[in-house]
Amino acid sequence: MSARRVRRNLFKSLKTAVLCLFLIFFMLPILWVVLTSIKLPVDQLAIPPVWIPEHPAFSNYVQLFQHPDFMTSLINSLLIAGAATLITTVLGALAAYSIERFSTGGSLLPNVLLLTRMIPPVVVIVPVFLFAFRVHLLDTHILLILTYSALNMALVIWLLRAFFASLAVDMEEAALIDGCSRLKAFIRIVLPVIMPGIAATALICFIFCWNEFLFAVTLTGAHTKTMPVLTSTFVSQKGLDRGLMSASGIISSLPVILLTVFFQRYLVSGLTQGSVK
Amino acid sequence: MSSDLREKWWFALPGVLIIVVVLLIPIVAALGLSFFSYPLQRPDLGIRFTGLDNFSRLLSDKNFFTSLWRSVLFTLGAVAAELVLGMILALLLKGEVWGKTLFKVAFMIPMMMVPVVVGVAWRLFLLPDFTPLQTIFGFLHIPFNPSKLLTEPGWAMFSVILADVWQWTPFVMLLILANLQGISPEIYEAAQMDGASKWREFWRITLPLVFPSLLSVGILRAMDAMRTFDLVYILTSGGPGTATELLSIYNYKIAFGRYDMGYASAVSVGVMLVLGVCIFGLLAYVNRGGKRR
Repeated sequence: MSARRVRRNLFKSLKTAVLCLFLIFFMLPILWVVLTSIKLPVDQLAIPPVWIPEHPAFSNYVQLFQHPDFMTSLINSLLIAGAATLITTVLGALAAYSIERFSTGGSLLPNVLLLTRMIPPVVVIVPVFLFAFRVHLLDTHILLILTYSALNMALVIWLLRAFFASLAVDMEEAALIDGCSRLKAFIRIVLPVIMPGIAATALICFIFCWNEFLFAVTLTGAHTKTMPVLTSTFVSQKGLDRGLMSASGIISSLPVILLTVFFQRYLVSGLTQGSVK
Repeated sequence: MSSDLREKWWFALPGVLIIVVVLLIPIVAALGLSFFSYPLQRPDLGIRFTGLDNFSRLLSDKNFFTSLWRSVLFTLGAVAAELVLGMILALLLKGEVWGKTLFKVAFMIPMMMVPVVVGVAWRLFLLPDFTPLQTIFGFLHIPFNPSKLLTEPGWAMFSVILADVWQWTPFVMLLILANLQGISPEIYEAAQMDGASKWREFWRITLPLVFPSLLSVGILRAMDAMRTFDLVYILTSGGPGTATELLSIYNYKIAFGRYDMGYASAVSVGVMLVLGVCIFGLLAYVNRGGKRR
């Protein structure tokens, strides 16, 4: 009996050890960036390498915070991702409800929507850029907000459809008989029940907007730079500033990493619901 | 009833309208633009209708086909590795291990990271003048010089695949894990009663049961990998030379490096055609296999 238990524990340890190897693989590049961000330039290039600097320096962060574009980029990122998430979630919830409840547009509409997720963004960006160039919309917040809303709309609709599908019709019908309008029934009866699903979807949408780079780098200018764009400028600069580059990378991924850690459970359910079905 | 019909469209309209205006109309515009010559940096030349010129240029464009090949290579390599590793991780996390939640949360971080930052992280990690791998490999006595990883064409492709695998294996793991946890334990109990080995259990029960979601995750990842832009753009910007210039990067460079908007649109149309054929081929294959929800 106890021999079996020892064998079982051994097997468990072995599996944990393999997972630890994967953990090293997944954490090492991040760790390296974190370490680089607190090194002075001397230590960044030292050979033999300095892994953990003797005197951790925060000058890279200070320099980043003092960078003229830093505050604007952070605010732009929050503003654009926030506004796009709000628009996408509200309009997406209405559309998803309509598609799931009344099968609006038959099977064609949801499939066409899904097709828009498969289009390479590079294809869309040339005409969008040219149009924005013509009507002087380049370097405006509204342009990115609209683009991000469109890019994530199909995903949000598909994610929310799965949540609406698991909802019984009875309560709404009771509300309708009591004289509620469709919209009122939706807001009063359906929304409160579906709130966790909406929160998870909004979170995923926000993360995608926050992470987007291609449209951001093409359609923005000095006033509308987002955090990923700012980070990328430190890469392309001639004198590669590793400290600034890593500090900027850390700061721009911090919000998303924190969201991931705190809302892990919701994110997982949202992502798996939307992708497998 | 008719008022209800109108109402349901009012619910759906705003969301659908945004997609039509921002995504579908531009696609039609890209189709149209591909028949024109439109050099943005030479406004004096203007916009001229040139018929099929852009497409005949595309067909004889070697760079287009090599970048297409690179994208295919990148996609096959990355997706295959992600499926295998994701499956292994999911199986490990399904069983009994210590610190399960910690592993799960830690593994999710790469997939949530900003792709640009993933590019930055791997770039810093692999920069040829000093990569920390040199110390690690030296310590383990592995005779490989990791400073090649970003400077030699073949290795650079390996590196961008590695970075993509690093970011997206967790996603595959998550979806497979959700599927594994849905399998009823009774099936395994029955198998154990029949004296099936763990190995046999995997091939006969687990793999067939997760195969549909493995397939759909694979398709999902393949579609994303074919469009990959930011990660590779930051990590290597297509270099050294053009060794990692994927289709999307090639397309982007023509549009916003040379500002050759007409030809860039033709390349886009080419990309859409290639992807369209692939997607419909895959879907047809999946549908023929039946069992699709």
